[in-house]
Amino acid sequence: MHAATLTRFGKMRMAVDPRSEAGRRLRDIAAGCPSPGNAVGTVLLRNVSVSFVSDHSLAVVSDVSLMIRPGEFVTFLGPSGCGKTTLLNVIGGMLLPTVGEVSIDGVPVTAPTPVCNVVFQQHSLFEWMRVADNVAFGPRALGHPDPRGEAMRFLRLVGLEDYAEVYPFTLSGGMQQRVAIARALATAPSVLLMDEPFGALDAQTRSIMQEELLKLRHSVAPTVIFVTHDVDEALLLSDRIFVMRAAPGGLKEEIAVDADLRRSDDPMRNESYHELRQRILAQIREETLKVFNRPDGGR
Amino acid sequence: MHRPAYFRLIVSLSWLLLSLLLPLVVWEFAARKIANPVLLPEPELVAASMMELFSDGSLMDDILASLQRVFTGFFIASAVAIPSALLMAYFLPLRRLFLPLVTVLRPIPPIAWIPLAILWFGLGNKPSYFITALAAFFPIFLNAFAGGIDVQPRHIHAARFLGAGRWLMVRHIYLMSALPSVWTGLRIGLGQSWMAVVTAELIAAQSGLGYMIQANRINLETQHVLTGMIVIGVLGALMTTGLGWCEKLILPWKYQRQ
Repeated sequence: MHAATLTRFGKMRMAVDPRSEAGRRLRDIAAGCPSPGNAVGTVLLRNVSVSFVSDHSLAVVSDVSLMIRPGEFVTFLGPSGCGKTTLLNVIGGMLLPTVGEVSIDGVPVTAPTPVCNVVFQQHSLFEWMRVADNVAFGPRALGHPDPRGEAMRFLRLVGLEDYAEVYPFTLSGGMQQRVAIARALATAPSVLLMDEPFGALDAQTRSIMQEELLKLRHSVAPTVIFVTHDVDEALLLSDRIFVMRAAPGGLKEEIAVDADLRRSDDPMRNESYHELRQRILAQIREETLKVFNRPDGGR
Repeated sequence: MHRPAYFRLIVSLSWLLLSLLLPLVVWEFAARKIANPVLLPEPELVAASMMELFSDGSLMDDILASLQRVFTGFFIASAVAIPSALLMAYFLPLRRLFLPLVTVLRPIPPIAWIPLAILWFGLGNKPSYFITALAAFFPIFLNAFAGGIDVQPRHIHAARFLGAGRWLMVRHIYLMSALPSVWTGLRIGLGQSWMAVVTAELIAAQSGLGYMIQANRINLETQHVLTGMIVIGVLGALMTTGLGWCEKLILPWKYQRQ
């Protein structure tokens, strides 16, 4: 947690020993990835509503407008059923909004394209392809001259270069998710969408993956949009947190996370961090109860 | 406990031998009790029949005739069933148009088609091709269809995000998702086809293992009938086992390799 917190805030190159494993990977990143200076990855949602019934009465997501700036790490946080995954699907173009519009860097989103990439909760690797072929799929589809080499570069980034030739099912859940992240990053998306990517992992693996993501994220994917119901995960990773309102889903509160809060050795001991955490937890609890107490269970 | 490979081979061969020996003993015992070679000939008699039919070449001819019919029918069935099943899986109007027909045709057993097959194709190879193809068609079709509709939306989304065009999508996502089910269908289909060829030959052919059994039944040469049955069983088992071995080549991602 400590190392991750250090690398998170801009001092990356100084915080990481260049001779270490992490340092080697960071050099790899610096060697070939788009620099974070190109300001791509602006996500704009204007009055977005999603309803699965025709009369718009039961909105899953209701009237969401927001802007996400290039390079931001934004989290949608809320109880299950609050529409956070739906919102993510809309941003990725996997689902068209009933009302409203989404654009990335000024281009309207109407279908999944390589502008975004997505990491699902689990089981999204192509299980019939070896690990390296999974990661090479994007570069190959986009006409990269050396897809295999590109795949190996991103596998090194997530520390799995030794597993290039195995099939995904031989890997643990955590390793599979690292492959999924490498595959998503290999197309150099402007926006990386992550739908509870660590939700199926055990607590230890999960915390290590969070650290890994923090190490990776600065140079590789300009903008990250993350979905979780875990408050600590959201606080650890995000620049901004949108706490979701339930039934109909929407934005309840926007919280900018002060970087300094997490820079200390043990953020949990920091009083204002603790207060913030308690406040968010109370909000989520309120929303969960709202769904819970409806006679129809929130449908 | 790690035994050397040859030791494990010997053990499994011993078990195989034992499992074959046991019914043989029961058969021998029953044959002596019944003491009527027309009702149940002794194993020795069947062994002698097998030697005789092999040495005069007639058994081999029958085997080849049956195998040729099975594989012809099986390939026809595969060539029709796999593409049509996948097209119906991917295109809803086609599914709506043809799936009810398939549902109604499926419960009709291949043997019920034999009268039509004879009327349409006469005697000989053609009605047998028709029957073996028909028997293989439904398992291949239904499994391929299930494989086709089993493609995961998240795989499709993931591929789109990765920039896959139409061709990559079909070849690497749709077809590969369907492959395990298609393979299952082919395995079942070949077994069904093998059973159906005997049925077809019993009635609509002048050669093959089914015809041979039928002809010898009329002559009360029960030992030849049993020879035919045993050959059918052994060949069918060999096909099933052979396909099981091929599976590791066709679906390598289902098997551990590190």
